[in-house]
Amino acid sequence: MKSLRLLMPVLSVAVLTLAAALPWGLAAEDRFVLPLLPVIAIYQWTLDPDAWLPEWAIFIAGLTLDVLTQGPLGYWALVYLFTYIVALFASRVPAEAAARRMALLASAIVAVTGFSWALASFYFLQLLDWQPYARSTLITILAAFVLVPLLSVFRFRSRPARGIRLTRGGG
Amino acid sequence: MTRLKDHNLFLRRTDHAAPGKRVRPVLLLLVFAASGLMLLSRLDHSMLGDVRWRAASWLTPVLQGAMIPAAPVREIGRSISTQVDLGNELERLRQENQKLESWKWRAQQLEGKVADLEALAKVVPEQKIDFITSRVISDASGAFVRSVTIDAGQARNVKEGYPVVNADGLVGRIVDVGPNAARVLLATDLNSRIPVRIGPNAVRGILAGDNSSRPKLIYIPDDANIAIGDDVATSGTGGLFPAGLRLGAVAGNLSVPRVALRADLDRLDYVSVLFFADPFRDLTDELSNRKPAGEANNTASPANASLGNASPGKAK
Repeated sequence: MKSLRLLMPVLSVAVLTLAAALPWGLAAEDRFVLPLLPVIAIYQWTLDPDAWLPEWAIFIAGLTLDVLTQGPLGYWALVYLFTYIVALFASRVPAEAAARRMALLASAIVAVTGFSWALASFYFLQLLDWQPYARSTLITILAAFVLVPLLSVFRFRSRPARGIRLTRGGG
Repeated sequence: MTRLKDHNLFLRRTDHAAPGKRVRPVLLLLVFAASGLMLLSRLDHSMLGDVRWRAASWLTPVLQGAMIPAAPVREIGRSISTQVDLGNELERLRQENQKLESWKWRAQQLEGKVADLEALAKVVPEQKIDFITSRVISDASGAFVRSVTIDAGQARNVKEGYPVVNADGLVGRIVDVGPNAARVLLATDLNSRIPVRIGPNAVRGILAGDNSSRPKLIYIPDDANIAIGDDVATSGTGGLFPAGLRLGAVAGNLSVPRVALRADLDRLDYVSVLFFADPFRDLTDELSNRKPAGEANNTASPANASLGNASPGKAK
């Protein structure tokens, strides 16, 4: 049970990464939303100081997706590492209210999608059509309203019991 | 007040005992590694392609397992979208059925005529192509590539270059083969080039994918007479695909003609791999492997051997 708690962040990212490669019957232009789902998980778990989601696990998740989607190796690895960096910066921004936290997440998704578009354009050395990316950003933000509470349940369950410790002699 | 502050401090310390995550050197290392891999991919390093496909083959059982819970979800989504569009679909089918009824009668007449003419001309019967049907286990359609992975590979005699079809027409061709999986490059992919013939005048051209849902028609003669709605099928030129596989119809603007594909490449469940070997390649191999007279009679070329292996499976 303890190991499951420890592995929960890595497992959730792995499951979402695998799901991104499955044939769901979505139009090719709309499939871009699927690889963005692990972005939400990476962001959420990085904000949690207790969660164990090492950088190499994020790198491997991205690389696995690159292999499964037959895209250039390193593309999704780079995008997911960028998400991690964005989340590190977001963790320093005080956000107690739920609305503010969601606004931060939405901004992070916009930043990550923008980065992935810029990276893909750089790869092809031409400006790609931005509309599928914009559409995917909106859908991902909507999906975050479902995924974030779900991850929070896992987060709550996987968090070790913590409370005010009473120690003898403590002032 | 001081006590309250201390209390607050204490609470904060116990509540957030773990310090926030920081940027570690390993992160920079991984960013460099990812950038390096991307650069190698851009340079199209051959080693990467081999390693990538081997890794994808290892992941095939995982994908097959993941498809088990995913299939019902996909089916529910499909039935919802079908229900939403049911009215329009019924009307379309009714109209299509009326057209097909008249075409059926005409086809029967023509079939009889063709059979008579073939008998008169002693035409060699067309060789039927054997096939296997396989399930799509992964969809790699994105910004970079349009391809799917199927769960049939070398173990099922699938080879590189074989055409892949579904009930609606040509889907693409096999470009990578593993022991139990193969990658199908879809007709919409940027690297896909299919020789086609267009319309009743059989105008020759090339169907070129550009990662959009409607591939372009290129290398069409300037004086070619094509119209919107003309059927597009494979021409068989070059021997990559057998002639006459349906692709779709000319659509869009005639100055930059595109093809609306019949097959819905976004919703591929099952596809059939045609065991169609390039006859020109076999001939070339045979000629290059031919030995001097005297030795040739008791040896079989690799091309013949491969044909021999494939022939038991070929339906007549």
